[in-house]
Amino acid sequence: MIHEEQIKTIIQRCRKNDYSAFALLVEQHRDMIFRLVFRMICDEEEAKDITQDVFVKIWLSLDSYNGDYRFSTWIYRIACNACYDFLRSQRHIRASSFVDLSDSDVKLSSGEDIEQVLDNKALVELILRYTEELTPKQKMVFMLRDVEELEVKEVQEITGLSAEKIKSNLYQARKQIRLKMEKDGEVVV
Amino acid sequence: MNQKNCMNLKNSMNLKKKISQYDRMAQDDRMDENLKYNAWLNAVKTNQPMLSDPEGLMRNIMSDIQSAQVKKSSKKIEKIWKMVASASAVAAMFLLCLFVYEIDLHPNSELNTAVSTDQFDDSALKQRFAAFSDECSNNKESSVKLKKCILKRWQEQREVQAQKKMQLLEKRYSYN
Repeated sequence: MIHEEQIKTIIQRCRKNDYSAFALLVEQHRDMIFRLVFRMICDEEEAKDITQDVFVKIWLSLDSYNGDYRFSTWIYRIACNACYDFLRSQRHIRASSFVDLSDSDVKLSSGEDIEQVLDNKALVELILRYTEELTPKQKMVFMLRDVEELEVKEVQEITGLSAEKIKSNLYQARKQIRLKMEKDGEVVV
Repeated sequence: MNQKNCMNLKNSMNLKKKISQYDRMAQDDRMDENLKYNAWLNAVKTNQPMLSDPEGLMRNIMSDIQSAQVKKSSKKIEKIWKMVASASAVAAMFLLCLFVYEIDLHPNSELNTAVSTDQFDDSALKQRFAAFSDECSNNKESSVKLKKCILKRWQEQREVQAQKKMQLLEKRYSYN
C-alpha cells in the first residue's frame, strides 16, 4: 500500500494531467473500491460500472481534494455517494428482481473464471439474505462500520452523518438482520 | 445439455464449498442468536468479492478519464470565451454610454464651448465679414481680386481659430 505522503505526490502529478500517475492510484485502490461497491450493490456488473464511474469522478474532482481527510476516506466518500444514489434508485427494482441462485443458470462470458463468478454469486446471496430490506442508509452504515470495520469518526467523514445518526442506523440495521434471522428460523437455507 | 448439467453441478458444489464453514456453524442448534449473527457477519467479511478482468476495468477507466479530460478542457475554453465575451460586452456598453454622454447629454465641455462659441458667434463673424468686404470694396478691385482678398482673410481667420484650439488642447493636457 502506498504511503499517504506518496499519494499526495501522485495527486500532484495527476493534477498536471499525468495519466500514468492516476493509473497508479487506480491500481492501488481499485480492489478496495470494488469490494465496497460490490457488497453494497450486490451485483458484479453494476459494481464494475460504478467503480469505473467513481474513478472518473475522482479524476475530475482531484483539484478539490485538499488533504483534510485521508485519500482513502475521500474516495470511500465518493464511492458511498455513488452507491447510495444507485441503491435509492434501484431499491424497488432490486426487491422484485432478486432471484434465488439455486434456480438460476449462471451466465458466463468468455474469459471469465467460473469459480470466481460462482464465489461472487454465493457472496451476493449471503449478503442479500439478510440485508435486502435495509434502507440504503442503514446498509451503507452497516457495511462501513461492521463489514469494513471503520472507526465511527471515519464513517462520519464518509457519510456526512452525525455520530448519533450512525449509531441509530447501525442499531436498526443490526436489529433488522437479527429479526430476519429469527424469521428464517435457521440461518442456513 | 451435458455441459449445462456439469456447470450446474459445479455451481452447487462450489456454493456448498463456499458456505460450508458458515453452514456448519449456523446449523448448530445450540448456537444462540448472537453467534448466528456473528457467524454470518464473519462470513460476509471473510469472503472477499473477486474482480474479474481487472485489466479490462483499468483500460475502461483510463479511456474514460481521457475523454472526460478532453470534455473538461473544452469546457474550460468555453468558460474563458464566455468571460471574454461578457467583458467585451460590458466594455462596449461603457464606451457607448460615454459616447452618448459626451455627444448628446453633456456637449458643453471646455473645448466644445470654446470652439462652438467661436464658430457660432454670428455677430462677430458678420462684423468681421462686413469689415473685410468694406475694406476690399473700397479698394475698387476687380471681382477676382475681391474673392482672393476675402479668401485670404478667411484663411487667416481659420489659422487663428486653429491656434486657439491648439492652445486649449495643450492647456487641457497640461492639467491632466
